[in-house]
Amino acid sequence: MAITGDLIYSFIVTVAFGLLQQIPPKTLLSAGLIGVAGRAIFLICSYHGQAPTMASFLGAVVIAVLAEIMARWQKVPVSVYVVASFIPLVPGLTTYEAMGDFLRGEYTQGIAKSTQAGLIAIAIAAGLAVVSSIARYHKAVANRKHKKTP
Amino acid sequence: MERYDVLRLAMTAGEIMLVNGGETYRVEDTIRRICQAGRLTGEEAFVTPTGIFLTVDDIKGEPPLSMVRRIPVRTIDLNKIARVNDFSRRFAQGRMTVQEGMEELAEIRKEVTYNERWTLAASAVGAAASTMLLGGGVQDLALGALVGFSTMAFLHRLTMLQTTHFLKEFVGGAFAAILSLVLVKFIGIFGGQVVFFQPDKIILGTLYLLVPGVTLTNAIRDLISGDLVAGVVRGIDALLVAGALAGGSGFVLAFWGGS
Repeated sequence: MAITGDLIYSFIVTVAFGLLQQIPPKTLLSAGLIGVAGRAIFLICSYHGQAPTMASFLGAVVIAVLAEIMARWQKVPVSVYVVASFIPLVPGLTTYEAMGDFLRGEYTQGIAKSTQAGLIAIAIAAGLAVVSSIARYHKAVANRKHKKTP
Repeated sequence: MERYDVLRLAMTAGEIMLVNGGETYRVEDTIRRICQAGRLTGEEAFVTPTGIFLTVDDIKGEPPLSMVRRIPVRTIDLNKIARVNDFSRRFAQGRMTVQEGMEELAEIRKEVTYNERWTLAASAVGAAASTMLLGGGVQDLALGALVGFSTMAFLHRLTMLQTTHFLKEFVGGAFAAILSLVLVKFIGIFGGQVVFFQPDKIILGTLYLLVPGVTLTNAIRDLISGDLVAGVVRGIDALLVAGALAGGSGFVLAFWGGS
């Protein structure tokens, strides 16, 4: 039950954040579903014992792949989908706890938690980056083929 | 079709994209596409997050033309990016005059995708949902929605905050923190200690709405496509915005905890 609630909240958060970034109305629903997919992968990986960094990386990869596919289908820029969908993966709670630790003077805890939050952020960025560089490579190859056989 | 008209059209399309949060390579591609459709060859567009430099130098005869435009204020409206992207592709098919193109761009610039009522509703619902996502209880739901709504409405009203960078995020974080702490304290005094609220989850729910998502994704995409200047600048921008958010709420929390 907890997982169902988590996925529903992820959907709402993604759609609301997308709306605040003014993404095209026709993409709101699908962006929300991509957000849910990313969060689901994160939860599944965490459940099977993966570290939060790895789980976030895989979640970001899935989000980026789905975003590339949907963007081609709907003929909108890829960032429209990516921007909102990764919000449920953002390590907000860890960052916030780290800040609380620093305020209370527990620096060791604070540094440990902020390092973890930083690593998760890097993992998400890396996930998005890997997929988008593969997509760029694919596009370049496709263009070259297209030019050779006019 | 005059050369400078085409140049102006390309520049305007690029400007709308950059102002509303387009990636660097997308802006450059759009400008190139429009220039080529308008039979301008030898175009060079150099786009940074704060300005566009565009020069056209045909090899034959005509003197080179160039244009620079500063982008002092940036907002985020991804629907406009999609619209201009679509426009540039249709213009490249060549069934549109420059005059018609200019009219369409003026229309796109004026368009409002979601009005304030929609964005405030999304703020309330989104803040409540992220409060719950972070592990808040049912009792935090209503407070989360209230704080999210009030913070965004407050930021909308203070348009003067747009002129100073990072002030909006700092004030937003501080406002969300003050409001949540005061509300929870107030309910605690008057409603007894029957219900337990988690003010930190409520604050975070609102902060989630202010995460610099577009800047961050653009930074990554710019770095990958080799626009190093734009990528690094946007990365720093995202870091500073995140820092301002944490600083605003942290300042209030530190003060509150100390009293």
